[in-house]
Amino acid sequence: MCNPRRVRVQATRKIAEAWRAEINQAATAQGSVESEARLSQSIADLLPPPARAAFEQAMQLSADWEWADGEYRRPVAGGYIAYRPDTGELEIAITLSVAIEAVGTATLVATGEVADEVKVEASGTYYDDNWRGHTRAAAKKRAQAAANAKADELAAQRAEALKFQAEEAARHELNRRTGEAAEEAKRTAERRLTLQAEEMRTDLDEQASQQLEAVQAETLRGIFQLVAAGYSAALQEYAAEHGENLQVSEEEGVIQIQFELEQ
Amino acid sequence: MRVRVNFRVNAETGEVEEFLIEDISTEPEAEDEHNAVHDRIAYEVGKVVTRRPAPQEVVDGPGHDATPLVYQPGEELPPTGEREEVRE
Repeated sequence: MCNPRRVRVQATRKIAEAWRAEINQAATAQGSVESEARLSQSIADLLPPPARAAFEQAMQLSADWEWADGEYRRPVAGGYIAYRPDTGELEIAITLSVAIEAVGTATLVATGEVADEVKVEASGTYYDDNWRGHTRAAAKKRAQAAANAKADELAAQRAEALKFQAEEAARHELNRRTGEAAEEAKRTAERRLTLQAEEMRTDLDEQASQQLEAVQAETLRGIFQLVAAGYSAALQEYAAEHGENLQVSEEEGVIQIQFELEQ
Repeated sequence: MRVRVNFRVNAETGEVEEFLIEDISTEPEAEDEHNAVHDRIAYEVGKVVTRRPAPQEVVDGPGHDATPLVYQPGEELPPTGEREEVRE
């Protein structure tokens, strides 16, 4: 037997842990769509002076109309009607407004990998004369087995740590890019809001226009009714003062007044 | 002179459908004077609803042998200006 010899071997394990971070953000954009329809109508052109006077007098007596700044004004659904006695102009304005809201979302996906390497060294002894079977080959084999076992053990431990590191990396990326995703979601929401507003505006314009026509028709009908009532009242008053046998009837929307005068 | 005033107005549209001042006198009068009085009455009654009435005589007026004066504004009251048309 002579002095023992030593053989050294190494075992290496490469380990990697992939990570993936998905960042979801949502944003809401709010706004409104407005549409205005307006028309002016000359009552001076529409009604002869006495009828216009009857209309203005009725307006003056009506609680529906408020006098301010040289004009009579009354609110209607979505707007107002204004009448200026000095110009004989009737103005109708309808403003419709609809609140709109759009939601935008953004998803960012970030991926990465954390990697490491584990190296283990082991040694085995042998004798040059192979005393008791301690050959170099056997020593190397034992050392390799020990190195492998240790490397596997360390790699497993390291893998756990890497998993934690990967989670940290994903979390870090999540925090780093949340603002970016939020901005993207906001931009998407605003784009959708703009589209929604454009789609709605046509409908709203149409709606405002229809409402304006309805208010105009209703207003003119009211004016004509006032005029008819004004004529009727004036003639009945005259008949009561100067005439005889006054008869007033209303049939199928027509007021009939009859009286006699002696002069 | 005795007259009968007939006035019909559409309560919805304000349109004056009829404004007729018929002579229903029973006593005869001289024609010139008769027409002048009839015109004056028509004008006075017309002024109740219009600033400057312009009466027109209707020949073969409804249901009367006389020729009643009528103020018939139609869809619009007459324009300004005092005019009087008498058609025989």
